[in-house]
Amino acid sequence: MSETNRSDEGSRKGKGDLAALMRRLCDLSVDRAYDPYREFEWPATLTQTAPWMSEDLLSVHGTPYRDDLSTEQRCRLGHWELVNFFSFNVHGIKELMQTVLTCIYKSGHETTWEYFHHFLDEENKHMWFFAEFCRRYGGKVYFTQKMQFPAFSEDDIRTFIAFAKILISEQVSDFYNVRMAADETLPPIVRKLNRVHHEDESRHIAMGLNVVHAMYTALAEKYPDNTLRQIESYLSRYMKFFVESFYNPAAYRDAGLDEPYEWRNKLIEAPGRTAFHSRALQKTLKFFQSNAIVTLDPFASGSVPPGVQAG
Amino acid sequence: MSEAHDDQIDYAAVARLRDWLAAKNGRAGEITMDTDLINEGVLDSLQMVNFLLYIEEIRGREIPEAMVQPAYFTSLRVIYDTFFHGF
Repeated sequence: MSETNRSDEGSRKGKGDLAALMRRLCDLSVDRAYDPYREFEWPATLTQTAPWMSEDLLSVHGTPYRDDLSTEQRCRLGHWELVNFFSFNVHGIKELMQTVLTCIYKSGHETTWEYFHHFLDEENKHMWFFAEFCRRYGGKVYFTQKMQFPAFSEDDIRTFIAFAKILISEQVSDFYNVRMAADETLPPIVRKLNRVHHEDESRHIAMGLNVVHAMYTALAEKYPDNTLRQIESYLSRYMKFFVESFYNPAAYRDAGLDEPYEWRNKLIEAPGRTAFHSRALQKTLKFFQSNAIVTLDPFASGSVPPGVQAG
Repeated sequence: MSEAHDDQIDYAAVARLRDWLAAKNGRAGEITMDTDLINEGVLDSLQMVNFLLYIEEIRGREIPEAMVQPAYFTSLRVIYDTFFHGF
């Protein structure tokens, strides 16, 4: 059998595997469908004197600055950091829905068209219940400071980058969801929102792992190594960017901390946070590294080649 | 928003912004008041949030949501006129 035939056969097998996975995911989504507007019992108020966010997920955790704050201050910080976490989920969902809407019923994505309907349906539910929490108990959804302007001009690279970003954000958010869903010190509504999101996201992540792998395989056959390294650099930087989204000066300000920008800067750089960032990124890094998409350590200084620009 | 004449510009603030940009991409000395920060690749979308927060830190006030648009961040002159001069 020639190399070409073997490659074609592998591609057909890959598409067959992906189609079978999408069928299973569609069935699971149908079986586990719920009405978000009836699913949750929203308390009129949430406790102001107990945590909303797990102590070990606070951005001060593992740093000497934690002990500069009283229990009450850490509790208040957790309230606003949870609103921040849910807020950037809301904005991330808006962005990923736009990506999927661009791809649905577009050639090249036929295998995932059907599942995209479930994906969009579930993401819309998530966006609603996260925003609902923020509005009810925080009085607002933090606005996003992200601005989009493209750097890669090739459509297939842009699409791959968009799906890779979705996967990274889902896997890191899932790390938080799993922890909070299991934390018995948190209010039931917080635990349930995290649990429901985790359950839906496990299917979205399964799709993402397969779609990103398939897309990258196609890119690796088409583009030179230099382009692949630019993609790697961008995704490595995105991982760092994403975990830094948890350090929001507006949340520090709302929690009553003076010098909110200084808090962000010193916490991001605090040695104790490195191990936490590694844990939060562990699953996503393992996938991207095992597929040779990203081999750079997002937090290693000098890991980003100078002059590489992407957006 | 009005444009600042050169003799009205707080060059210390501009220097801090330029130093920040130069430190991020190693292009010290190349960034003038009118360098196109976005189209010339001085800033990309991942760097933009940190740059925006740095501008907030220097000016001591949040940037309103309505102004979180690339059009307000195209050059140091536009940034200065928008966020520092008469704002």
